[in-house]
Amino acid sequence: MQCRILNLLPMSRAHLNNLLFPITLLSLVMVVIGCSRKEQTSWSTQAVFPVAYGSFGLETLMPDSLVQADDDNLLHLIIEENLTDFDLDSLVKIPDTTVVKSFVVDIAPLSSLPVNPGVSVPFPNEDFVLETDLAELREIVIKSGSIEYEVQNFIGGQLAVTFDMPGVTLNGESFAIEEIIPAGAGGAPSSLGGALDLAGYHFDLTGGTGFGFNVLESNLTVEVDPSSTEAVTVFDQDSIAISISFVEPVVSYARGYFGQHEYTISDPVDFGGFGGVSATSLDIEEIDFSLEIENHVGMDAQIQINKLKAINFSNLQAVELENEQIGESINITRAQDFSGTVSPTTAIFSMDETTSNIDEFIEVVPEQLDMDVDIVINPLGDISGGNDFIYTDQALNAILKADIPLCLSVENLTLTDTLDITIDEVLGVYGELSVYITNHLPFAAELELSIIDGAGEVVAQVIELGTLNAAIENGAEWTPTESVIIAELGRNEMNLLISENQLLLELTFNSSGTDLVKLRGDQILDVKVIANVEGVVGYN
Amino acid sequence: MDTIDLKVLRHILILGSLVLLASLAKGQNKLLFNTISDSSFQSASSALIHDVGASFRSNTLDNSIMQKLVLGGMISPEEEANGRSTLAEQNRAGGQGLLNFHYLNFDAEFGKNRQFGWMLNLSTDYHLKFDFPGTLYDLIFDGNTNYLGQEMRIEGIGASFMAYQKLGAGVFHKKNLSYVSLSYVNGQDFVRAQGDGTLYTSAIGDSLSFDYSGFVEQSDPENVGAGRPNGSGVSLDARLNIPFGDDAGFVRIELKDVGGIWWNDKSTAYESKEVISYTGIEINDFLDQSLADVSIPNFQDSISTTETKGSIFTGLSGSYMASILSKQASGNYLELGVTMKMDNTALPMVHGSYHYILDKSTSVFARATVGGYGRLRLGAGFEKYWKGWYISAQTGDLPGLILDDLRGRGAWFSFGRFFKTK
Repeated sequence: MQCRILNLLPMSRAHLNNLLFPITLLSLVMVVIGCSRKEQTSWSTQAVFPVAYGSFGLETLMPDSLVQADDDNLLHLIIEENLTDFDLDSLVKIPDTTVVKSFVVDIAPLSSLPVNPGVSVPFPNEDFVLETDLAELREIVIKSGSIEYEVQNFIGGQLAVTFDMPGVTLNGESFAIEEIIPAGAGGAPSSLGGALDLAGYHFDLTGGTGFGFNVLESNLTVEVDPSSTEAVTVFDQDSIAISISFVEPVVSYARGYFGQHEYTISDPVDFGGFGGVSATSLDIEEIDFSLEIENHVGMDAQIQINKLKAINFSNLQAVELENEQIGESINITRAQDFSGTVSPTTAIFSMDETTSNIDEFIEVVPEQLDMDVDIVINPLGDISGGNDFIYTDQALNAILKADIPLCLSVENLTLTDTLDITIDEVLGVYGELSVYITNHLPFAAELELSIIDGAGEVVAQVIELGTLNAAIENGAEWTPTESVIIAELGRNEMNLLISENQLLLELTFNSSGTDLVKLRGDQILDVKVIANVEGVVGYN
Repeated sequence: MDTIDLKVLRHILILGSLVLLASLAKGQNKLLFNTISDSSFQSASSALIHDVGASFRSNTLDNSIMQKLVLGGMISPEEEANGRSTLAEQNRAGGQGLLNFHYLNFDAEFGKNRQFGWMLNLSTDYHLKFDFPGTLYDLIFDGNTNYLGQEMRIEGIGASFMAYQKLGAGVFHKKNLSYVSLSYVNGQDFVRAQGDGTLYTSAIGDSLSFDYSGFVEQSDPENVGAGRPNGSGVSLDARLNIPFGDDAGFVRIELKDVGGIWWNDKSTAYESKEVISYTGIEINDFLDQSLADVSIPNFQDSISTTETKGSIFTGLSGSYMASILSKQASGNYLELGVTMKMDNTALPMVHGSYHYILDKSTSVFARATVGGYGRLRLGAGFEKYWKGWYISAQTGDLPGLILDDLRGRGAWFSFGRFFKTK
């Protein structure tokens, strides 16, 4: 039977070639062509789904925790702004400088002296003096910088030089240079040099006496190189020159007498409108305000505030602070240094709406503060006996503090936020966003949502003046109101959102009347954002 | 000529090609040798017969949607609406593809019994089916928009795909071509999935809740491709043509693909059961700029799944068919039959055919079928035996070959050669 099969197939080959193979091939080609996917399978569909939810009040909307609730759940606007850090580093600045010291052999009346290997050449010791214009420094600690040094040998023999500065130490080790320096020849010196990173080095600037200032004690020891085989002839007035260069030294701590100085501060301070908040009118009932000057420096100071002016460029309002302390000098005593722990002293200018016009000053919602402040350092001279000190990381600063219970009425109080959004490109999705808002705040509001480009320009309006009604006063309580705002997201808006990636949210609050209203922490906005979209979905 | 005319022309060309092929091939339901008077094929020493074809059918999804689901393309609102017009609570779709070769040896003798010959079969089979609730159709094409404040019960989702090759041997009756064949089955690929889910969308759409349970089983996902061995099995195929009366007709009983496959231990099963809810992004995170991306909710990321590996047994997509063919006074045959597929997706399929015997070696038939994966459809076929050549072409849905809005399409072709060495 098997043989018959084998016999049969060769006999049939002609027929097979004629018919079966072409048709089979055609069948397979049809299957392959028919089964090849040409494109993505896709269709239009719709969906309703939640996008975002949450509750937020003014404390959420206003940046930098400007609004905080107290124990009674009443909201306070807390402002704390560092107006300026007085730069006092310059008082103890050591300039880039090079000190060159020549150590001269004095063997008169001899004109020359043979010195055997291993025997010292007689040199006098002399201290280095630091050149500082402003201060009489007794000690400093260097934060960064370096020393570059060079030793020159004018003697006609190879010498072993040791140069030691016992007042320059790091972790108890003093700075020292030990070099074998070749002989000078024909009046031309030989020289060797190097560099040292000064970070962390402590400088005792009291010199060899221990009572000086700006003086660095030094010890020079020179002997004929012990490995030499011959004595060296040293002539009277032969010399060794040592130069030390300070390169960009930065002081982190200094002690001494820093001198008496006067400064005037008049640079304007960007106040940022409470950080993204603006208003055409803000009515505040009460306010606690203070301007605190913190002195972390071991120097006395005298400060006189001549002018403090709040300016709002948006509504073109400006108010100058009026208070009896304006124009008066106030003395600030020096801080105390307890082995590295500084106890600062503080001078406080306090005022409220009864003693000043601070309420009007804040109601401007200042975007900039103009100041005119005079400061005198060490007004009484060196009364510390050369023990002024400064840690340059923190010196003297002025901090404006205000605590304003939010009992207010507002007009066009506007909160602005820019939201970065990245949306994966999808096929032709469009539709609308329904924003359900329950407003517990006693203010009506208008919501605007815009797509902005990289330059901050509005390229499309998603929500134009969506209105939220104010909560309704009901005795001591407030009944919330509910609003639904529809944001149209057509194909154009979606394309812009995908390309620009930025939304600008603006929420503008207005009081329904002129009465001041106390705001509580539970007066919030409940928000639900729901998408109802159509689009094309599919699979590959 | 506008676009519609071009489409019609294309269909006519396809149909023409099929008719051309039909003149060269043999159909899936080979009845010719039991109905014509030309019995010369019985004197052949051997025969080689080749079948090829594919068909799919649904009670909901029309040809256009099915084509785009498989081959790609944008499903239009009109196509979606056409599917919706017949959307039922539970819907089904299925299809199969086949490419096979049969070798029949008529010279064989089993002892003194000369009535039977032996045969060899080689085939590759593809079977796809899925059933789905109407709510899944709603969800896919309409989303949840119409179910605000309601539960969307998506229950009874099932899908399976199986591809295998068969190499078999058997015996056949030389006169009426009844046969019994036993095959070794190489399991190539299979995927089987089942799931139920309930999606609840709140009245304003501010929360979604999805309760889901289901499983997916599949053969070794790392070993995919035509003919790859991922399992082994056996299959029994048989056809009995039993004459009754004095040339009054005959009864046909047929078993196809009765057996199963043991898929190897690299097969993987995934099971999920999860209740998840989604209410959107916490708005303070949004205002804090702590979110880099905003995207539509993705439940897939949230569903926890357990994965197990091990051998899995699946039955083949077998079927049982029984029909009675009654010879009419005209010499033509009237056929009534029923087919049961061995899966719970397809309904019992009932068909009625009328076979016109055009001459001693030619038959054409018309057929009405209801059940299976689809609804009522009208098919037709053609068979011809001529000087040792056998050709057939048939389709279960003749209008479906050219009309995209019908719900089934398919064609089967056979061709064969009966050799004589005597």
